[in-house]
Amino acid sequence: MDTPTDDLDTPAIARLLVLLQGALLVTATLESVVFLGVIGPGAGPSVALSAGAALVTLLTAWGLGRRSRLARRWTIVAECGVLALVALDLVVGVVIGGIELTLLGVVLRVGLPVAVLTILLRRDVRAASIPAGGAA
Amino acid sequence: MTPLPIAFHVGDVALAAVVSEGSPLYDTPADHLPALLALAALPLLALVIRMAAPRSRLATRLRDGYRARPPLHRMAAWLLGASAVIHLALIGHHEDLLGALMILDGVLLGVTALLLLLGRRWRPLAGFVLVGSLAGWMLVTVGGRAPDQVGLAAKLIEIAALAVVLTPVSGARIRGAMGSATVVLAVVLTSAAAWAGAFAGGSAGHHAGVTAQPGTLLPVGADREPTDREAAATAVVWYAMALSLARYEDPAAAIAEGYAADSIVGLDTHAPNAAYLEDGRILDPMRPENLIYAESPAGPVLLGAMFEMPPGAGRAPAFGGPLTVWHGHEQVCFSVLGMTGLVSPFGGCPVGSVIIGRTGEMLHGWTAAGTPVLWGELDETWKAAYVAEVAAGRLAAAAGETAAR
Repeated sequence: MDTPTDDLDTPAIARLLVLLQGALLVTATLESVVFLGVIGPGAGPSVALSAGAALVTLLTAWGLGRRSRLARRWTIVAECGVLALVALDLVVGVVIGGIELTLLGVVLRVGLPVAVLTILLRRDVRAASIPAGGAA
Repeated sequence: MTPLPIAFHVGDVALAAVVSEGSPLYDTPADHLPALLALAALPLLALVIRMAAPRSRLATRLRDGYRARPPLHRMAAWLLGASAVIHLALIGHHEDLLGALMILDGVLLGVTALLLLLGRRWRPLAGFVLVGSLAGWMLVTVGGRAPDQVGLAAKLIEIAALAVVLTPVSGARIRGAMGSATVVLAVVLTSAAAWAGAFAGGSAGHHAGVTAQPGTLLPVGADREPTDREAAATAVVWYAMALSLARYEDPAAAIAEGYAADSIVGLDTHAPNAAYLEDGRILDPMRPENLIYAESPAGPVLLGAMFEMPPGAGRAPAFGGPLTVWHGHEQVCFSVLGMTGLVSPFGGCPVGSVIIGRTGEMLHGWTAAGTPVLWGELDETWKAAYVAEVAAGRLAAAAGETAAR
C-alpha cells in the first residue's frame, strides 16, 4: 500500500495537469515543424512560439512539483491566457461564421485550464506554495 | 471580354442539397455517445457506492479506501474508472478481435481501479494495462482506422492515469523526470498515430461519399455517373474558364487585376483575389477567386483556378454533379502570416494561431495542357512533370533565341 506523501497531494494534481498541457504543446510544436515543411515559412513563427510555450509550461510543471509560488502565480496567469485565446477563437468563429470546437478542444482548452485554476486558487494549495529561495 | 452573366453558369441548376462531412478525427460519432453517457454516469456510480456503504461490506471498503488514498491516487481511480466505462459502453460497436480486446481492456482497467481503492498493489497491473491499451490503439490506428474524438479522449485519460502510475510515491527526482518524459512521449506518439490513421483512413481525392482526410470537407452520399446535362454544363464552364485564364499566364497580369501572385512557391500556390471573393459573383470564369501557379526554374507556370464561396455563404452550385465536387476545409489554423496548419487531434492550434472552423466551398479547375482531370484534385506527380516540361521548353526556347542572336 502506498503511503501518502507530498508528491501525491492536491498540488501534485495541478503539476500533472500542467505536465499534460506541456506535452500537448510539445506535440503542437512537432506538428508545426511538419506543417512548416508542407505550408512554407509562414508557419515558422508558430514553431518558435509553440516551442517556447512548451518549454515554459514544462518548467512550470516542474516548479509546481517543487511547490514554487512563482510557478503557481505564473500558471494562474497562463491559464487565464489560454481561456482568453479560446474566447478569441469563439469571436473569430462568430465573425467568420464557423465555430467548430472539437470535443477535446473544449475539454483541453476550457476544462483543463479551469481545473488547474480551481486547484491553484484553493486556500490550502496557496498556503503550501513556497516563495522563491525558500526550501523545496 | 465581357463578363458572362451569373445565370450562364448557374442557371436553373439546383444547388446541392447535401451536407459535407470532414475527417472522423474531429468528430464525435453518434454511435460513440453511449461512452460519453457512461462517463457522465460514473459519478452516479460513485454516489451509489457511497450510499450502499453502510449495508455492503464491499461498498464500505471501497468508500473507506477512496478516503484513505492521497489526492493523486484518487484521481487515478477516477481516470481508470473513466477509461473502463468508455471501453465497456462501446461493447458491440467494434467487430471480432478488436471488440474482444476492448472488453478485456475495460475489465482490466476496472479491476485496476478496484485494486487501487481496496489498498492492494495496483501500479504494476495499471502500468501493464495502460501501456498495452495505448500501444494496441496506436497499432490499430496506424493500420488505417481513422480515430475519433471519443477514442482520443480515452487515450488521453489513460496517459493521465499513466502519469500517476509513473509519479514516484516519495521524492525520487530522476524517476520523476523519466516519468514526465514518458508522459510527453506518450502524448506525442498518440498524436502521430492519430494523424497517420486519419490520413490513411481518408481518401485523397475530391469525390462524394468518401471519407475525407483531415482538414477537408466532402459531400456525403454515393458517387454516381454524370448526366448529359451535367457533362454539358461542365464543358461550357471549363472552356469559358480556359479562355479567361489565358490572360494570366504572366503573373504580372494577375497582379494588375488584384491577385496576390507576387510570391509563387512550390507546385500549388493559390493566388487569391480578395475583391473577387466578396463581389457576390459565384462561379464566374471571368473572375475566379484564386489562380493556381507553380514555381519553376523558368518562372511561374499557370495551372488553373480555384472558385471559392465566401465563408458562411452556404452550398455551391452543383452544376456538374459528380464531375465538379466542391470541397471545403475545416479545422484550419491561421495566424496573421497566413495558414499555419491544421487543428491538432487534441483540438488546438499552434501558439499564435486561431481556429477557422469551416471555410467556404471551393472547386479547383485545371487548364494546364493535357491535364488528366479538369476539376477536383490534380495528382502532384503529374503537376511536377508538367511544370518540368514547361520549364524545359521555356529554357530551350530562350537558349535558341540567344543562339540566334
